[in-house]
Amino acid sequence: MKNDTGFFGTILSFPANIWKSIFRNPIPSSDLGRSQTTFSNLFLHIHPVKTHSNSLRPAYTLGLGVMAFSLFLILSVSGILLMFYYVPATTQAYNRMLDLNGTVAFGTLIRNMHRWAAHGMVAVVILHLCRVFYTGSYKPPREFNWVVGVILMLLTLGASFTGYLLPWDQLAFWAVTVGTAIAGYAPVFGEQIRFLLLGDRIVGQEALIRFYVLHVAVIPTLILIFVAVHFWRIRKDGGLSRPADADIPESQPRYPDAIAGKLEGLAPRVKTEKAKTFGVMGVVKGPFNKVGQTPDNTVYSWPNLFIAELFVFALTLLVILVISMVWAAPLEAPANPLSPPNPSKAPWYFLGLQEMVSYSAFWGGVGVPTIMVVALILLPYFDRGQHGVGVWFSRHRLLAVIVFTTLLLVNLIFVIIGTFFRGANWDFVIPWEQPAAHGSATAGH
Amino acid sequence: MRYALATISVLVLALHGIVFYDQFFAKWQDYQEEYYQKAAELTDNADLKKDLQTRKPQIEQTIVRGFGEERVDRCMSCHIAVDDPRFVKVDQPLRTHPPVSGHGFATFGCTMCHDGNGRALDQVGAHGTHPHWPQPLLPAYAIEANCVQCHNEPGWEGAPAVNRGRRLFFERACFTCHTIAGLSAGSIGPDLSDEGHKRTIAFTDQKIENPRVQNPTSTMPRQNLTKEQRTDLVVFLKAQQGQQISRAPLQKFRASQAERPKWLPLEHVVSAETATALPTMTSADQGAVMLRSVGCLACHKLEDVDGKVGPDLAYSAAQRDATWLMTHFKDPKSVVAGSIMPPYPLPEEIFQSLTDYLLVKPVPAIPADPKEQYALLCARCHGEEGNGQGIIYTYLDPRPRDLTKAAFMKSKTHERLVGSVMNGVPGTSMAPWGRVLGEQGSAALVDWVLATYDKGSAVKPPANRQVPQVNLVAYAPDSVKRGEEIFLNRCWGCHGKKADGHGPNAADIHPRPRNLRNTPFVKSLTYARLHESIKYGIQGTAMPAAGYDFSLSDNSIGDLINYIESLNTKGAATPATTPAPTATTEVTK
Repeated sequence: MKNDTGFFGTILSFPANIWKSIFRNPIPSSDLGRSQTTFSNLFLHIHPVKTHSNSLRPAYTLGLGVMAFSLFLILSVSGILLMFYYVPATTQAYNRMLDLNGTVAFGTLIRNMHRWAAHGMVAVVILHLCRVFYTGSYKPPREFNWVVGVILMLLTLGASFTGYLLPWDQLAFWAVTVGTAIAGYAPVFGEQIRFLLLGDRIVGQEALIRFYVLHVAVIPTLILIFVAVHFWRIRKDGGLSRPADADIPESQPRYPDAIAGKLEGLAPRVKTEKAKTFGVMGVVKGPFNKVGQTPDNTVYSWPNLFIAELFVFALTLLVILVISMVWAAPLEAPANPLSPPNPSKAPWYFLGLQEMVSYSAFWGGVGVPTIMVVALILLPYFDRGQHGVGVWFSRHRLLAVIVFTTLLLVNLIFVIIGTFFRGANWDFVIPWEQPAAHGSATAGH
Repeated sequence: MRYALATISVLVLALHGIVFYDQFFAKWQDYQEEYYQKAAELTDNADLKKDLQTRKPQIEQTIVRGFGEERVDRCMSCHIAVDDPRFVKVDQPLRTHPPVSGHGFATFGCTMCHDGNGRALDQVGAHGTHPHWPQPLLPAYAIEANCVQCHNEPGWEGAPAVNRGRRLFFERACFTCHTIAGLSAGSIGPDLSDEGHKRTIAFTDQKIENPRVQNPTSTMPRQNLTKEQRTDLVVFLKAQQGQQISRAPLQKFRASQAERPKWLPLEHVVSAETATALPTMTSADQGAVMLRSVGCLACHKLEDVDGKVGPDLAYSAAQRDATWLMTHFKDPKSVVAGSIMPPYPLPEEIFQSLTDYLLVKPVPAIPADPKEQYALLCARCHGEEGNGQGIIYTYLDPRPRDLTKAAFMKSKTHERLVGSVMNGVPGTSMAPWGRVLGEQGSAALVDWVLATYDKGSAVKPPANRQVPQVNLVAYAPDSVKRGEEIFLNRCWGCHGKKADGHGPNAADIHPRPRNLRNTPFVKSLTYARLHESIKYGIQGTAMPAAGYDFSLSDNSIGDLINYIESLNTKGAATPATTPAPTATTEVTK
């Protein structure tokens, strides 16, 4: 600014000064600027200044991690808005749900978004887990981040399950009754765990307030903490996983996008660069610590990574918006402890467990899920071979892929049977041969 | 990537546009603008005209205090012309409200009479027609359900449907099972004191029309009501809203402290003329009137009135005696363990008059042909096909015998079958027909049944059964304990842990496992018959031959029977304790 002195100068440069005081850098046009923009912004600096171009391939990550976090953001915002109207009391909760329909501005839409985003987050988190498995991304040095991911998945299930009770309708009441009954099958401490969860022997006011506190305070805080660790560890573990040969210079370019100059800040050919000198913040383990002549397959995070992330967020928001405008979140008759719907079903992601419980209460409800979780957590400490990392369905990992896929399909089949093929008394039914359900108790799943 | 991001951003923005448009350009604004325009056309006053033309739509609301919880009624945001007399002929929502004297909108609001959700500003929300809103807009015929919330003197003539519904509540015996605070004290069905507060008219109507649509295990009998009668009953139930908003807290407290009436004044149940005439009648005549007034025929059949739930009462005089009838009136389950008949909350004089009437009422003549006899006397329970599925069979426990099951029928002696017809089966709904049919008539009927329903099926009758005539094991606590162990080992899967016939397998078994706590039934069996049933099983049912399948000795079966007897000691003579160790006789059938 030329006139940045004197009274008029101060007035004229007032808006620009405010802008500059907030944003340290102008829209960057040089590599230095791109680095500084990423580096000096609280929200951007959790990203590296430069991102490996393999991490930006949509076909590699499918954007699932960012999608899960986007859903978490949507859930946080819509959830906080719902908290302004919700009262966790058995006498009021259901009436508040009715009020959201028609009385509260945007009430229906916000509730729909929250409901569908919650289901979506469970699904996306599970898909994200599958992606990480199939690309072998849990292998050293990323073992611990896989464990954090498994914990995040359990927290997501917990958040969804505790939220299920809050509308206090028949669906909520009986799904949670079934779900906590499964917890009661645990050996030795089963009944105590159930009592601790419910604060009572049946699902009632104490259970409602406990689930509410878990849902709006405890679990979101834990998710936020673990998400921070999860993101942090991505960088500390050397960025997203990629094939072993991703950094080896080739005569044929690996990434056509980069070659065509579509990715900003990347030379049109994979090249080796002279070693750089880094400050203390550059002391990072792994391939980013460049000493000597190393291949550089990275691009600047601004704008490549941020546009990709923004795209995934906008896409997620769009899908949730469309779904929420077309389909209303289910709300059934008010909770009635005296009149269980037949069948009483847990939320869909627990229906696989419920189906297994119908064969054996202990094994289906406690044994198998515990084994599955323990196996998931221990997986990276036993499967340590470095073959096939960063490649989808690598041929080197044929056995692991087949075993995982089989278990996944078995779980999926149980969920599908539990969801569609179980009728009154948990009898096997063929869904398309069923007469239309009577009354309101079964409508609107 | 940039173009994709741009496209999606525009789409997200557009969707937000739709959402905000929906929220901020609502229908009620259009209605108000339409109203101001029409009102401006109708007025001659230039200033007023100008004022109307420039008026902007705004939410119109009435806050109603002084009637229970504060109500916020925004109905006039759409229905803005309710108090403008010039809009009588205009379509809704801009029509004038018909005049109601003394019920000013500013004091009473709208939802106090009409129900619906006063705060909502769109039609579905405000009229409460989305699913599960418990108080959607009342149809015109049901408005009186809300009138009586304040006009609560009994029989107030402004609410004829409520009054008719109240009468039906007694005439159809609803009061025997359901509680309505201040009216009745039944405990078998749900409390209906705030039914109108919790349920929509549509729900209650469906529930009464067919109780099993919403709850397949409901034991509530389906009532023979005309559409009009059902509507009256539903309006009466809609009026049951728990706390009446016009009542002061002190009145509410006194009402809650007052003893619930066991029996209402007669004039609530029968018409005033009958009530005055009753004391001059004989006891039997009183019974005849009461039988038709307190809902007996809501279930039972008598002459041309048929509730299609309980047995025919025409033959009572030839089947029961005064003791049986009085015991049954006081507690039906003490005589028929699985009965769904509620114990009537009536004074004993009424039971006496009903008993007198049932015993003096002449028994109608019956046809001589067994086929016609079966159609008249048996088909109601056993079904025209003889398959045990007559019109009332779902209400009976145990279910009527399936007469087409040859394996069962052929394994019983002719004497036993005739005996069951003549003497009935105690503890069940099977009545003794001996005095109606006579011994020869009963035998002829059994012959006809066997010939008609079991023809051609050859089942080998059991032979050479070794059954002790008296228990080999003395009735003693350790024997009962051994019997209980065997029972919990072998029998509970079908008969249930409580031996009430409701074990986990019971649902899939036809006929259902016996309720072994049915004292009148168990007491009616000889020891030998019980022993034989356990040892050799019951052909044509799921009861296995425990003597062989489970290798139970005669002594173990004796323990088991002692256990069963121990379940049925209440109100009965102490079981026989004399052991007869060697009394095994050979029974040849």
